[in-house]
Amino acid sequence: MKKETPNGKRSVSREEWLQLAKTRGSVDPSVFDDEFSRRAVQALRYMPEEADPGTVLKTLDKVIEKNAAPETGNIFVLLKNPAVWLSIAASLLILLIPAAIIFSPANPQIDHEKLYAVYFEPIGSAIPMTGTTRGPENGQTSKNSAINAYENKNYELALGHFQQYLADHPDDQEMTFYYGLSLMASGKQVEALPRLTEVAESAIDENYRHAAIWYLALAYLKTKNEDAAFFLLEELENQSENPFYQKKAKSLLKEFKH
Amino acid sequence: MSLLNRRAFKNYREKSDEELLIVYREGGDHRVLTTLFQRYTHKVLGLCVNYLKNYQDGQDAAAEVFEHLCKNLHRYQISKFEPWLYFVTRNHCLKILQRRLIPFHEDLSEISPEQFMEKPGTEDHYNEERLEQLSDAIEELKEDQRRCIVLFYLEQRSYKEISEMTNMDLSQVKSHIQNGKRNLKNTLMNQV
Repeated sequence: MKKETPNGKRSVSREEWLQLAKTRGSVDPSVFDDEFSRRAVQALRYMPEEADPGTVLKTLDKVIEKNAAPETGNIFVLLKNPAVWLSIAASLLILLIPAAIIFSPANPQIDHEKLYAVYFEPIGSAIPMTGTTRGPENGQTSKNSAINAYENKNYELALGHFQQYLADHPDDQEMTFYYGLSLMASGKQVEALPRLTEVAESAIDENYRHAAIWYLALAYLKTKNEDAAFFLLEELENQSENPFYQKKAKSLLKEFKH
Repeated sequence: MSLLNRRAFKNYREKSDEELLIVYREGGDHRVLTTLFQRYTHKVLGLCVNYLKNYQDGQDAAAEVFEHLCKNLHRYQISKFEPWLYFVTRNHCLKILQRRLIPFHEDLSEISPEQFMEKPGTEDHYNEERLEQLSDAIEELKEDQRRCIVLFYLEQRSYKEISEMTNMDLSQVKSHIQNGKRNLKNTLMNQV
């Protein structure tokens, strides 16, 4: 909470300022060594009761993000900005990941197969099956069939149903997640990567997002891309919203370090 | 935010302000600016509110500071970022204060033996030091006097509006403003 500035003086951190804001400035600003902190804390007395300082800071953060982002609309302006080149490079990197998986030498000290076998276990489906209609197979029946086959660990059969359902419902993140897991359980880790990446990067539900990152890390482990797996596991280890996957990530990272 | 972007942010978070400035100058990646400025969102907001004595005005001023810096940071030569940001923010607030205090030039001259504005009625020239002293002296006032002085001079409210906002009667409002002015004068006289 308490932040020390590089020269050893005490400065108010964002977290501490927000904490102090709850008491509306009942702290003595002189405990801080720099003028910036003292005045920032002194200002809390002007904060109205109804004001939510956390929201105000987030609003200002968005102002920064909006104004710091490169201008859009003019391709020449965009191409002058090195950040755009970085984004292009990042996209190329994503495209080259499968190649890297195939060609990069793996660390011989890590037993990928063994670790994957110990840690990979498809999670039970959280999608309830609902009533079906008679007649030709519709979206709901293919969804039910996919989940049913997945629950019965008949992953090869589930794949066909998932594909059929997702062809008509490409934005269904939950089903995309279980499709990714079915691919992994069927030994198709490379095919699972884009599916799980999609959920890891865009899932609105944090539980699915964390779960997708975990399985994505395992898919990279199985394909011997330790760097990608390591980075994703660190992501999970450093977050605290989902202790379940945080613990799993910590445990697997330990194995990496042995 | 993509996983790759998060990785970049993570790398940037581990760097000092001055290291981020170097990265920014070398490449101009906008995520460097975001990381750097968001370290100080709370301080810039607090400093603006502290000078302007009003939360909403402080928010607006802080947003203006960041908007300006996002577009113009490359124009500045900065050796130590935090003290530099402090002075940029302070100067922006003092300019706002100056504009607000123009209509009260005569009142302020009465408070202080030295004029706050070298060229009355304009915002081109102003005495930063005196404005800063005034801002600090307002902080030292008693709560009721401070509220009335801030509402009258900085928010340019009428006696009637202040009375309604503070639940004080008109004579109390006038009395707090008069006493506040006298105390400000005494404080500023002692500083000369």
